[in-house]
Amino acid sequence: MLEGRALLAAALAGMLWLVGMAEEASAALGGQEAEVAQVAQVAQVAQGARQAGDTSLDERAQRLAQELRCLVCQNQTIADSHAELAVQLKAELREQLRQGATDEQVRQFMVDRYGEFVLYRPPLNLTTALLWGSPLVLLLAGGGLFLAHVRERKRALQGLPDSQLPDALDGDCHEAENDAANEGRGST
Amino acid sequence: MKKSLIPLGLFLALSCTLALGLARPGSDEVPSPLVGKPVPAFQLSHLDNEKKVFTPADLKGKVWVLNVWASWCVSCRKEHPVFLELGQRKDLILVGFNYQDARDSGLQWLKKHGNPYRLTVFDEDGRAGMDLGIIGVPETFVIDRQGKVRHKFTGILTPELVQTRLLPLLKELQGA
Repeated sequence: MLEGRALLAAALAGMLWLVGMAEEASAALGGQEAEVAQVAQVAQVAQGARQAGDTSLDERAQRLAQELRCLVCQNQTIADSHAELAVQLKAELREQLRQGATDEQVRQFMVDRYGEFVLYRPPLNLTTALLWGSPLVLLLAGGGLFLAHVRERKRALQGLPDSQLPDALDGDCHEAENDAANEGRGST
Repeated sequence: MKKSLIPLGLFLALSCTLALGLARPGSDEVPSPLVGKPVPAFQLSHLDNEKKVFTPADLKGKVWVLNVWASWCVSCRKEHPVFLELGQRKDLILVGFNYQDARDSGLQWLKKHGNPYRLTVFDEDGRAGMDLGIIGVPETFVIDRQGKVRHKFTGILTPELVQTRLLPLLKELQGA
């Protein structure tokens, strides 16, 4: 019983993690489609779109700047940084967007010059596989340890005479449930 | 007893890994994506003559070294003796890259500290520097006969780096 719940919780946590990844991927795809639509719109109703587009341009520039690393002060985004290079890159980024570049093109511009290191959200490839995969590995390892622990406890409790069981088991059971729930929440 | 030592062991192992990572020399260096690729085709005027234009294609077929510096850069003054010495080698083409500077200040700086460069280009607004992926000054690029960037030194080029990295690389490239 206890074991079954733990297994369920671990599976649930794993699924939540996968859903999180899928959501992120679809968000990235959705963003790209929206850009294409935006560019098409600008082409169709150039005048009107340009006037209304300035605030959305600022927003896009700001959003992009927030996912690019400032190379001078490496733990800041170029949106946060006031370093000269960051200010310059922000201006360049905005100008490129104004001329109709997509977010992806701007990102590529930065990667070509400063390397993948500029991306605060690293792409999934061979060099970053460990980075992306480690949460799953840790989750499995943690789940395994947890299961082993539960099993061991169960075996120990089964060795006891019936009269000593109920109180202790009840308390422990709740604790295990909470642990499992927390683990699921923490990993998303 | 033994089991309770496991978390402590794990913690120590993690600490050691992090400490080693921090202490590793050059751990804050960003590898340039430009290495192995053609040097960007910027077009810049000479520092001492705004009518003369230089573009990397002018040096195609030659091995050359591009040193990025600025008159406001303290580290550049520190590394300059290395370039003064390198400038005496006849087999080496040194090109200066005056980054985000004023023409007058740049020229004065060269006058005061010596000019080892065959020519110096002037990148007033830093736009060409952006194409080179310059993060800070000084930086030094080594470019081969095909016009490809072969190495980038970030920060001061020390005499030690000249001996261990730059000269062997130049020898290899010039032999090719």
